[in-house]
Amino acid sequence: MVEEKSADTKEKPESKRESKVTPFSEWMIAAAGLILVVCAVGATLYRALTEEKTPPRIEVKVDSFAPNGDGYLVKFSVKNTGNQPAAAVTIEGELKDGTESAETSSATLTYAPANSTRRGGLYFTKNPQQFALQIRATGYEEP
Amino acid sequence: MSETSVKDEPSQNPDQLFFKHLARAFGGAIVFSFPLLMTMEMWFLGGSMKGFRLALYTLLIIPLLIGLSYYDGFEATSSILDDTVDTFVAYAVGFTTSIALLFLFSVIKFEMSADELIGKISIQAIVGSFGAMFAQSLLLGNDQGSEEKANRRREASYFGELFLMAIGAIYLSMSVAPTEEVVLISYQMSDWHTLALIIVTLLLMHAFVYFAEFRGQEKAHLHGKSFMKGFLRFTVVGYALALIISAYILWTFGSIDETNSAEMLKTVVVLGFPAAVGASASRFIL
Repeated sequence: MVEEKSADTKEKPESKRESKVTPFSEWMIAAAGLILVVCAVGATLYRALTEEKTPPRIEVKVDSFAPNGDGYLVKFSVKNTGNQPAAAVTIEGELKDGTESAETSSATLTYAPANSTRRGGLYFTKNPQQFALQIRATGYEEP
Repeated sequence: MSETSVKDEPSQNPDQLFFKHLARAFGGAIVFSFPLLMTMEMWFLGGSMKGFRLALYTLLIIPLLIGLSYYDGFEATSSILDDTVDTFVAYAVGFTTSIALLFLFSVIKFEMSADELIGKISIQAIVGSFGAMFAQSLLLGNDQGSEEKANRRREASYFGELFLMAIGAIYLSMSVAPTEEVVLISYQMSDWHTLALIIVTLLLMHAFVYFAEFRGQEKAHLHGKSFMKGFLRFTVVGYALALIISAYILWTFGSIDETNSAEMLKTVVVLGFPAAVGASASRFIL
C-alpha cells in the first residue's frame, strides 16, 4: 500500500492515510461484491424470464405418529410444489373407519412459500394408526 | 476509563464520570431497543429460537461491539482493552434494560421456564447492547460526540469504512428483521418487483454514498472517470455486505428455513433494502 501525507485535503494533521493506488485486497473485495450482486440479479432475472406461474399445489405428508398426553399427535410436513406462495393453509386430517368418519382434526399454517416445506401437527383423541388417515389441504389465502 | 472527552469536565472523579456514561448507555439502550421490546415476533423468537443460532448471534455481536466502541461508543476509549471493557459494560446494560422492560410489559413472568426466560432476555439484550454502544450518536448527535471518535470515523481506512457500513446495515435492518412483514412482502412480490427493488436499492445507495461526501479523500473517486471505481468499491461492495448481513439475520431468526433458494433470495433482497440504505447512510447515522 502506497501511503503519503495528504497535502490538498483539509484533514487534521493525524491524517496520513491516502492511498493513490487501490490495494489488491480492495479489488478482491470489490470483485467478490460484484460477483454476489450480479448473481443475485442474474438468478432473479432468469427466474422472471423462464418460470411459469403455477398456482400453489400443497402436498401433505405424514411424518410421524406418537401418543401425546391423553391423545395422539400426527406430525406432518407440507410442501408447496407450485410457483406461488400460499397463506393461511388449512390442513385437515380425517380418521376413517371404512366409509364412516371417526374423527377430524385441522390445523392452519401461516405460510407455505413456493417450492418450500413447512411443518405442523394434528391432535387426535383416537389412535390414528388403528384407522385409515386421510390428510389434505382444504384451502389457502393469497398473501 | 482513562481518557475523557472534551465535553466532560476533567475535575470529575473517574467513578462519577463512569456513572454519567453508564446512564448515557442506559438511555441509548432504551431509545434503540424499545421498538423491538414491543414487537411480539421478538417475544416468540426468544422462546422458540434454536439455541445454537442465538448463542452464535450473541458471540458475533461481541467483536462488532468492540469495533463500534472504537468508532462510537458511550465514552472515550484509548485501547482495545478499554473497548473490550466497554463492550461488556454495554452488554450488561442491554441485558438489564431488557429484563426491566420485558418484566414491566409482563412478557416475562416468574412461572416461565429458565430456557424461555434466557431466550427472551438474551435476544433483546443484543439489541439493547447495540443501543448502549450507540448512545453517543443517539443522544448527543454528531457534533457533540467525542471529537476523537469522530476523527477516527472520518479517517477510517477502506476496511474501517466497510466495517462502518456493516454497522449501518445492522442498525437499520435490526428493527424490521424479526417482523412477519419482511417475509410477507417477499411473498407478495413477483420476480420483476424483486429486480426493480434491487435496482432502486443500488441507485439509492449510490446517491447516499455520493452526497455523504464519503470520506474526504475518497470523494475524488466518485467523480468522472473514477465514477465506476467509487460505484464498485462502495456501492456494490456495500450492497453485497447488506445482502450477506440480511441473509445471516434471516437465518438466525429462522425466517428462511426449508425455503426454496429463489424464495430465500427474494426475502434477503427485501431485508437488504433497509440494510443497504443503512450501509450507505452510515455517515449520517454515526
